[in-house]
Amino acid sequence: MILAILLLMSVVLLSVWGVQNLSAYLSLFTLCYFAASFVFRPKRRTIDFVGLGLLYYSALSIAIAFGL
Amino acid sequence: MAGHRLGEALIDIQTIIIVGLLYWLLQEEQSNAYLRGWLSSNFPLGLYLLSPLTVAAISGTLLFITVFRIAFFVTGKDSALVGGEVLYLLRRQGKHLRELVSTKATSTSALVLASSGAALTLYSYFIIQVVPFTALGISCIILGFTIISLPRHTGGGPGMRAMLQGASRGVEALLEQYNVEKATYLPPVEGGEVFAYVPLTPDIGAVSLSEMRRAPKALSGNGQRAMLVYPVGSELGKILEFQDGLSLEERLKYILIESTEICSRVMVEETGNAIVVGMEGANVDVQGQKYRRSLGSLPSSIAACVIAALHDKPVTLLEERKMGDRLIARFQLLE
Repeated sequence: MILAILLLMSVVLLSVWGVQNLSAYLSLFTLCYFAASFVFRPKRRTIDFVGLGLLYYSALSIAIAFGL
Repeated sequence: MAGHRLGEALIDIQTIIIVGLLYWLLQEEQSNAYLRGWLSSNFPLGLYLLSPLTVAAISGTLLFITVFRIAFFVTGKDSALVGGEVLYLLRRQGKHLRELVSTKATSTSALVLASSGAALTLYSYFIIQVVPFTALGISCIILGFTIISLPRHTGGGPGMRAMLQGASRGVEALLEQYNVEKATYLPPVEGGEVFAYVPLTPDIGAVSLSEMRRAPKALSGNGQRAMLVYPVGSELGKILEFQDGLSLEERLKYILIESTEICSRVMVEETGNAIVVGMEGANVDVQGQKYRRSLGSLPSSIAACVIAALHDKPVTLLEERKMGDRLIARFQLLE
């Protein structure tokens, strides 16, 4: 629930600020996801594939954005 | 009657006018650069609402509803009655849907959320090219997969196990001085508790269900042949989630893995009145001897309560075998 609120708030805030870069959204999602995971430390049935995927794609998009 | 007809006709005409206006607005937006610029600076959402696909979707839905309304009106059928029939059919499907959602460990609702998110992402990114909607779709995908990766119910752990073992000590103290035999788990009556009928002497013989239910719940002295005890899982039949048509395996997973963490995996095999439950990583070490001899180990005792409540039949634990970290319990449903 907290994660849902955080993600929705991220989308609303960035769209209100007129951000048109998808990597910015992805990076904020990653930040929210890991913040929520760190605070609540939920048990998982599987490995944290969502976190790994987010980390990979946000790192990739940041690298592309900085021309690395 | 004439007023009703006039009302129907007005609603249908209004719908058709709205569709026409939408189409006119779409044409105007595509040909009028000033209108597009105004929308872009004052009402950006209007640009998305006036995209051809959105207009087609809204108009299609409105026309679909109108066509049905006209068809009902012409044929004289009562749309409320048809709607009632549809709702009745949906209610009948509800039970099957609940079974589907609850018996599939991957949680169908989470998959629906993730798939809707994927559809929204693809539509927003490739067709209407709106970044916030794309991000919204991605957030739905993240939420869907996060739900899938989380257990349905949190709780349990060493504290819960310790409390359950403590709860079994009360029964152990009661049975300590008797040479107890295998117990029979009795199904709950009208949503009540599961009882265990514990023979206190070896020569108890065949006893009917009604006789078992009449056995005393306390020790009354010498010569008592049997008694009813509250097993550790006596209240499990009252769990609300169990009203939704969960299968036996799902119920056992819910209790033994997700709620109490007594074991890490559960497998169930049902053949007629025989039920075999395999439990991986089951902890059976710390427990009273009498409880274990009569009612079984803690995981098996809890499983027996769940089986009795689900099948609404008396259950007895025939045997338990520990193979490595696996516990295999064989139950028999009694008629």
